[in-house]
Amino acid sequence: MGDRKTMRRFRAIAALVLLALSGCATVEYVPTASRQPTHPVGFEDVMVTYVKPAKGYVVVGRIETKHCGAIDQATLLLRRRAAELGVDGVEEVFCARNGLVNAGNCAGNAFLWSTP
Amino acid sequence: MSMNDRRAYRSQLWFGALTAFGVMSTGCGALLGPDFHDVKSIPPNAGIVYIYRPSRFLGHDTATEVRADGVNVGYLFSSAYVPYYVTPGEHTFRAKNAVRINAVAGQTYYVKYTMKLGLVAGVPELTIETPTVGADEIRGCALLPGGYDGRDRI
Repeated sequence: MGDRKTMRRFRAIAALVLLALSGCATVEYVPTASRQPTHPVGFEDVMVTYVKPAKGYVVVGRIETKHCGAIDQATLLLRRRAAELGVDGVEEVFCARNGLVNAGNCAGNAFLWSTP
Repeated sequence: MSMNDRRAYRSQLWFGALTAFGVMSTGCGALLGPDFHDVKSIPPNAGIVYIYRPSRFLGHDTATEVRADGVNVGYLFSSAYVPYYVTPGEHTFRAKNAVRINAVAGQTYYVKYTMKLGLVAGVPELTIETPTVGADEIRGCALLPGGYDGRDRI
């Protein structure tokens, strides 16, 4: 009887681990300015940088990824979402390092160039 | 071992294998963007430098930062590339060592990242590749999703 209980617990934990590991990644956009992009852009037209851009830009929102598990997956999602939104780039991206529990949790400021 | 024990053991093995598969399918290997293709156009008064890392088994699971003129352009995984726009003049690219390119407007340059054998771990090395070899080797690479291309600096 005790064995069955242990097995059930084991199955439940394994199922939870699998769920947590397989594709529960989320990406969220929060607009923070009245000026917003209007058209989607190409994936490669979006600039992603860990520092501030060197020429004029306006921050229009914030993009965050969660439960990605790794930085490369997070930045891929971040760039895809930015392309869908139509922003010119995401600046000052900060990510939790790989190997940490919250690895791949990234956040950055979505921006539009001041002068196109 | 009783029948029930065997069943329980088999069941545990299955879940172990499934969990391991889940870990391997999500945690390993870099996720890259679109396959390599030339940039649509080089802006006037700018050159383009492709920084790429050909696929090699040695050190494939490690990625180190590459800096262009002191700015992080990304952690270059195996089979990844980053296009980087430059103004005419001298530019420095650094991983463990540094290479310098004296860029001319409208020209294309290739900087190759390889992992050499080190005493404890692999050591990254940057080299300037000829246009013929660079153009050939970069074909198997894909865009680094978080890579920074320096468009704001031209």
